[in-house]
Amino acid sequence: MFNQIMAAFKKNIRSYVLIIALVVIWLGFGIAQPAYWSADHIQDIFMQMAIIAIMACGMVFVIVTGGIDLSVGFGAGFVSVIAAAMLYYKTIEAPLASMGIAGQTLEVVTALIVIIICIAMGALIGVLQGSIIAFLMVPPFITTLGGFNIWKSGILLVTGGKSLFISSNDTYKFIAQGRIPPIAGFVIAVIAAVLMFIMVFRSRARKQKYGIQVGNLVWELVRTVIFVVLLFGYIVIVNKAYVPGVPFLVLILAAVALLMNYVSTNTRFGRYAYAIGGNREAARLSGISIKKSLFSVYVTMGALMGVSGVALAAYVGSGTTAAGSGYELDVIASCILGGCSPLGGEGTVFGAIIGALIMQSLTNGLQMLNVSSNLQYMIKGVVLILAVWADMTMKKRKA
Amino acid sequence: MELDAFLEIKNVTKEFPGVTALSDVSISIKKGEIHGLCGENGAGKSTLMKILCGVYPYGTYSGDVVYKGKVLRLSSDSIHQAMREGIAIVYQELTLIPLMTVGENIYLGKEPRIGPSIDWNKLYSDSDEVLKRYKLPIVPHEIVRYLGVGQMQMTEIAKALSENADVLILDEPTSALSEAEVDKLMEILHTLKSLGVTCIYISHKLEEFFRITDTVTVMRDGKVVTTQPTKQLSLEKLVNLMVGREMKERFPKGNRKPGEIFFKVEGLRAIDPADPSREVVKGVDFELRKGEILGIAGLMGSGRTELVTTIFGEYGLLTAGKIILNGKEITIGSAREAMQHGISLVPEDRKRLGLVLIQTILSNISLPNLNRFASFMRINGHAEVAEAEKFSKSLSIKAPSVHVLAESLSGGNQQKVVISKWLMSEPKILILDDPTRGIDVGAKFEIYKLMNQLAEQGYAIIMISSELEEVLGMSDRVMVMWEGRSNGTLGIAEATQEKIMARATGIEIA
Repeated sequence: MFNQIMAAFKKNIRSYVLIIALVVIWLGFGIAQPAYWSADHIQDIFMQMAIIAIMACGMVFVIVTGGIDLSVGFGAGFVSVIAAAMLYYKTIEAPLASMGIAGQTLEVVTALIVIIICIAMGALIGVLQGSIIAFLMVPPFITTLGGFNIWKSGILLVTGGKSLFISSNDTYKFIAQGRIPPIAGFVIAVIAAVLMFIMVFRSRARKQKYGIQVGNLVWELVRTVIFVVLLFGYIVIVNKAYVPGVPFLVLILAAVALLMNYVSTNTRFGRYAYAIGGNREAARLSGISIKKSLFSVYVTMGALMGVSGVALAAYVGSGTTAAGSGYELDVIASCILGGCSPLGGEGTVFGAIIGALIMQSLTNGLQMLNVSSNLQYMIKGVVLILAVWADMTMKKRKA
Repeated sequence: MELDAFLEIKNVTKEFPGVTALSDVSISIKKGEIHGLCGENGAGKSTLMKILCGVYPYGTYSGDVVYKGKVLRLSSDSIHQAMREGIAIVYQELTLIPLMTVGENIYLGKEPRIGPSIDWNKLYSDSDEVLKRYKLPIVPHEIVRYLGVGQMQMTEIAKALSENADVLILDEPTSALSEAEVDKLMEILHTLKSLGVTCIYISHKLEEFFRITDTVTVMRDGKVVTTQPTKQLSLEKLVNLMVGREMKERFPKGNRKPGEIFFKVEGLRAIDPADPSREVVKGVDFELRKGEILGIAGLMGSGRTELVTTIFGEYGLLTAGKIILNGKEITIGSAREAMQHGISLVPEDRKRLGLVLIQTILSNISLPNLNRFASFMRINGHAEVAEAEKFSKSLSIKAPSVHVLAESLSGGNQQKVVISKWLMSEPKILILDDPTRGIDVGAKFEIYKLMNQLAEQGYAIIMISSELEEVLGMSDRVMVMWEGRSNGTLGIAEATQEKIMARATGIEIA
């Protein structure tokens, strides 16, 4: 049985290279600085990476189609300052208050309306850029480089050069700063674990129904058990933190990642994106509308940019003039590190999440070791290049 | 002029996995002559030329090439070596950089320099000198993209000759040229001959051999059929030599029973949407019956592929004519619409147009058919796998599972994946564009069997083929194309290789 497990592991080794890299990074920093393994830091690290990781889930699709989106940093920044402005100037709150809504209800309703407007704003940015790319056929690099500058200006125009503080709405700030009660974390984990096991057996039953050979049950169960153990381990640890509980933002990230991962493999939208990136001509001759697909990809990216923008405003607690600056490069780096081919056709949502986690782990580790921030970018740059080179070499050896 | 061989190919054999491209080829070429090389597509001409210019280096083939009295040993690390030896080639597709000048193109990769910087004066004066020496009427400072096709070709020739080539290989140089440009090219070739340059001239336009060559070698199936002085040949004789061979049992006997006519194309004309001045389909008529295989024969560049991709809605813009399906005129504006009408196309270049190589067999087969497994938010992955496995089994695709990447398969199996992909979409008409190109004999036979089965089940099949034997072996009727138009349709009983060739070369016009 052990041999079977090892064989299955060897077969999937490439998918685990990233995870192994992550473990090595954690071990290294943990040994050098024990605080790296503290409950507070583990709670922090997932929270800090969330804003980048949410956008990486959309960027995977963009890069898979062979495109790029340079506008996501300032795009998310623009959305975040809009959110901050609406809260700062009480644009939503004032009319609601005059309708007699007050107290906690007022905060919740205001927050919800702001969230909906902001995600719609993000999607609208996607519609705009997506139309230009898909229908006017301006290359994505150019279109989104334009967007980069446009939304940067947008930020400055909205803020008028000053920071807009969100002081009146703690419900809104909960999105990125709050933790769910420890017991709720456990409940969610139990439900997730039960679902995972049910899915293993359900998938096998359906495969048998269609006469498809089923995989090794032991290996599938071992894999599920590992996931469940990691999940519970995480819950136990974050529940011990100074402010106990799973960060709400991490919950949002998990939801986005699961959804986008599903979309990438189980919907036409996802499959067409991979086909277009893999061979555009073959996809076109297979009756796929390239324009419609590309357009949808950029709209999705835009909507996720909106989600990140909402979270960014809540995380910082204000709308600042530098909001989102440089995020686009972290998002792209996460995807590439996670196995996206810059030429298109390859990449996974799961990989991009791990990529984002690796980037964040490096940043935090270097900070905790008091490495000068002047040097940190250089180290991250070198790691990025090395990682991609190693990945390419592995692939060549396989072929 | 010396009489002994200047360039001698001795017993050259070149094998690819599963295919013998050249078998025991010997040709001797005299200094200063224009030596024509003709044969059907796949006869081995291109492979032979690739050996001469070092694309297939010394050691990858058996036999010898003796050049200027010495065995030619081209190494694999540099395909420029042939050029330094004095052998230059002008390829069928132009390889110029459109935004550079004629001079820059001629000296691309070998620019004269002073220290680190390019010596522009020398580059242009040298270019000018080359152009003048070979009497090529173009100016070195002209930007290539503004030149006509004929002038671009002259630039190619100048580029090839700039290193004082002794042997110039021209691979189908006239396929894109107008009549006047062909005349000009012939003039240039005469000039080159008078300057002592030896030319190897490959063409599908047979009459050109009689205008320009001294000797003609005919190749067929990787072998040399004959080498004769052009004076002793005639057009008819040449056609006979090219195709004249016995039919072997290479084609499975089908039991096809063609039914009624249900699809018609009438007076179809179409232009290239990217270049509206270019008419790509110049009048095509044909009819298609249920359960038959209609072969489309014609030489490369005769508009076969343009015709079927236009019918499939993915290439030409219709300017005249009708497409009629079940008595109703239809318009097809995209691949999707063609599929909705039950028309599928297995395109000519499976790697470039047919497959997403980095994806699995499964993903490739289901790509055009995801709608049948998908609801708004979900693809039924299990049903998809089951269906793909069914096709993989019934077409006997040789792979461990449908989760194997398409790029790892052999040519024949790749082609089966492309065919599966289109069969799954349940077409009424299956168009196969050169379905057996580049696949070995065994796999070809399997594809033929499959075509028979499909036709017996009532599919109408249109098969484009570059091999006359294949067209005659597999079709119920053969439509011949010549210069973008249909030049008659022959019933299989009356069709012969000679008749098809005569129509494909325009010797006979319907």
